[in-house]
Amino acid sequence: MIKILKHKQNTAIKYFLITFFVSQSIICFGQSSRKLPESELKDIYGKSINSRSILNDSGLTVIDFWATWCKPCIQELDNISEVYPNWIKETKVKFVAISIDDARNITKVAPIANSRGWKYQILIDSNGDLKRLLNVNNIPHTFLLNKSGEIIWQHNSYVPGDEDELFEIIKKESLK
Amino acid sequence: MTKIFKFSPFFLLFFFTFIQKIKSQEKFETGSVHGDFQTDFQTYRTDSTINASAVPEKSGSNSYLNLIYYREKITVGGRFEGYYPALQGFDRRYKGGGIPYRFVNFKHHGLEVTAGNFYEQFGNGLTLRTYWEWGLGYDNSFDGFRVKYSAIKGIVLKGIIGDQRFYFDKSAGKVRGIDAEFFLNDIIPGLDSTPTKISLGGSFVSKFEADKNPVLALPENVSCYGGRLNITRNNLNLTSEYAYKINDPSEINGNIYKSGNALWVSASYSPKNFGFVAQFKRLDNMNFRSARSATVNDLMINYLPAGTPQHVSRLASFYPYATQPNGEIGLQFDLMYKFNKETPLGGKYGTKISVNFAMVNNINKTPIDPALIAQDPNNKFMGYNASLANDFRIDKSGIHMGGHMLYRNLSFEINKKITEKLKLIASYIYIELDNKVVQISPFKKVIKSHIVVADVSYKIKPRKIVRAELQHLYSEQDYGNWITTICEYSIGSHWFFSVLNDFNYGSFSSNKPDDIQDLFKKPTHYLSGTIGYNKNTTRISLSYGRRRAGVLCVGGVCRLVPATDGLTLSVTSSF
Repeated sequence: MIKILKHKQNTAIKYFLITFFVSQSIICFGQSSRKLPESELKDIYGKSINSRSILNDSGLTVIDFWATWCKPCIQELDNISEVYPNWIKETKVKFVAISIDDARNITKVAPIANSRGWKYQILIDSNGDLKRLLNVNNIPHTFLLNKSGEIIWQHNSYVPGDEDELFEIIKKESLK
Repeated sequence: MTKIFKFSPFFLLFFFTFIQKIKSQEKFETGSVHGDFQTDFQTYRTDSTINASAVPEKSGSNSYLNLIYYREKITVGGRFEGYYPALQGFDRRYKGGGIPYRFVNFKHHGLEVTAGNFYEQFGNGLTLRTYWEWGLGYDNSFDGFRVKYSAIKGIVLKGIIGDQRFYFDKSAGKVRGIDAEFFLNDIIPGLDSTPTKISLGGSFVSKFEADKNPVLALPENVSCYGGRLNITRNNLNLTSEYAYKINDPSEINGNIYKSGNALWVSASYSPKNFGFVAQFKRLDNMNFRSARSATVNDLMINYLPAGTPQHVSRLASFYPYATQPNGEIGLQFDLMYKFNKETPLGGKYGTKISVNFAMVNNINKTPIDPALIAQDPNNKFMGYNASLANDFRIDKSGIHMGGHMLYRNLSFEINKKITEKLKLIASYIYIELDNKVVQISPFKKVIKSHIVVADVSYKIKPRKIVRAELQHLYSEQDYGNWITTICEYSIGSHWFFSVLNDFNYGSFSSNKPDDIQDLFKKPTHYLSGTIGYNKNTTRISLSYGRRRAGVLCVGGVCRLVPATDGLTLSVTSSF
């Protein structure tokens, strides 16, 4: 009897989920803007930072999910670091590097960033809350946001040279 | 009937979402549905040279799809997972398809309520941490309720209750926990402008599991609690946490009635161009799971960081360290430096160097005095005595920490751009591992290995890059020596091609042939090729060839992967 009930209940959950997502998808169809979700992050001082407060008032914002153990992520952040002063000068873009490291490597986040001379805003999403809300499955995953926090472009993985494509998009979108 | 009642709050929140939805439309505010998915399909064929065997189905596939509906205040989400059958190396209890993860989350004026499945972490995780690591088949999420409340700036309170995920089932044990965190600079007036930032936290977690053991009187409610402190001043940081667990006899600790404790201290200093990290940890009987009989990666409630480096190169990640919850003491140091460009060591483009030293020993365990056992027979169930003070000893030969060696790492890396087109990363890594304890391969002795890696990338034209890696591992034990060659070619950001060969060629010395496993005495190549396509957030890759047996680790949790031969297709996307 319990088994039957459990089965019925699972079926009910599935039915609800499917109906829900199908209806929501239909409602949302054709609407392209997706806003940066609200979530609590931490800065390297342990202070809580709301994800919405990282947005750039004077231009676009790039957020990049990375981790201390991710080689392509560090390569990407190193390469962008070299051209970042120029990006700011030309477009006033702001770059935020969000680490998904856990306790094992959290204390390595600031030393890695500082020793490599990164000038980004460094934040930590240790419980992966924002990562899940943005459907990040592999890192590095880069998002470009406009002034009102809408995602206008995203990309995952990194090959040297990808930063040139990102900058072209930043320049184009900055003029809008 | 009780089952249905248990879920009624879940449905209520669903209903609430719909109401919100309708109301929101009046104000022309809509939410959005997004998701991500991954599917890995692999065929298997028998290949006796590498000990790979086919499965009856000839193939396996693991897939998931996450969907999230997000609107201000409300988030609803779920994940479908399917294993037809699970890929080799994953637990066979991952069978068929289902929705093991679904939730409703509501946020309003500092209050956040989650019903259904959730991932949570208290402090560093010593008392509680649940997370999902798809590549490892690791998911210890809770199914229940979570409330977070932050009414005053700088104070966050959390409470959780639920069952843990156990493959497509749930744990029999219940877990309850509370946590409080205080960021003092936001709370105490006058502290907000000082450069010293202090945060304090405390957590209490309790699990309940009925005692069905006919012989032993087992504690049904086991509590684990901890306190933490984080101080930062400019470029200096200190993070520390101490946790204590009452007696909790389990399969892992050999059913002893001893209490457990854990200490984690991590400090860093990083002015411009320089980084230094020092970590210390000590664990004593800290295995904490929602079922006493759980082993491997099942039903873990807490998270015990490994405190060792997470190597990225292929051969260096061959011998990772896995945390020993029954007892370990360790130290780790990292040093990083960047020589600026136009300096003698920096050259034209600058040079980055990093050094890591890590050591882990077991802790000193003193057997219970037989006289004590004679007086009180229950003492024998205490297992042993151990203390932090007992783990430090100074004598003529120096300072000694803990008992015998479990793990050592010494590594150097140099990262240099040589010309506008050529980049080099070179490293040397020494790893020593007591495999009798860590058990990452069937070889049950100490393994010593020396690894050298050269990673060269050359830009032929903008966006056309060739990358080659040459690695060598020297060892007189386990599988013996390895040479790994990786060649990758990428055109733009869309297409990439790679060829990988792991060549295992036994040992240099024939004196100790017993130290090399039989299968690996004769030279063997593990050759595979991959073609991949990447666009925005979608990645498709197709590989064919052999893969060696080994261990895959993410964040201190590891999974053994058997040797395989066949075709692999992977698709990942997010939208």
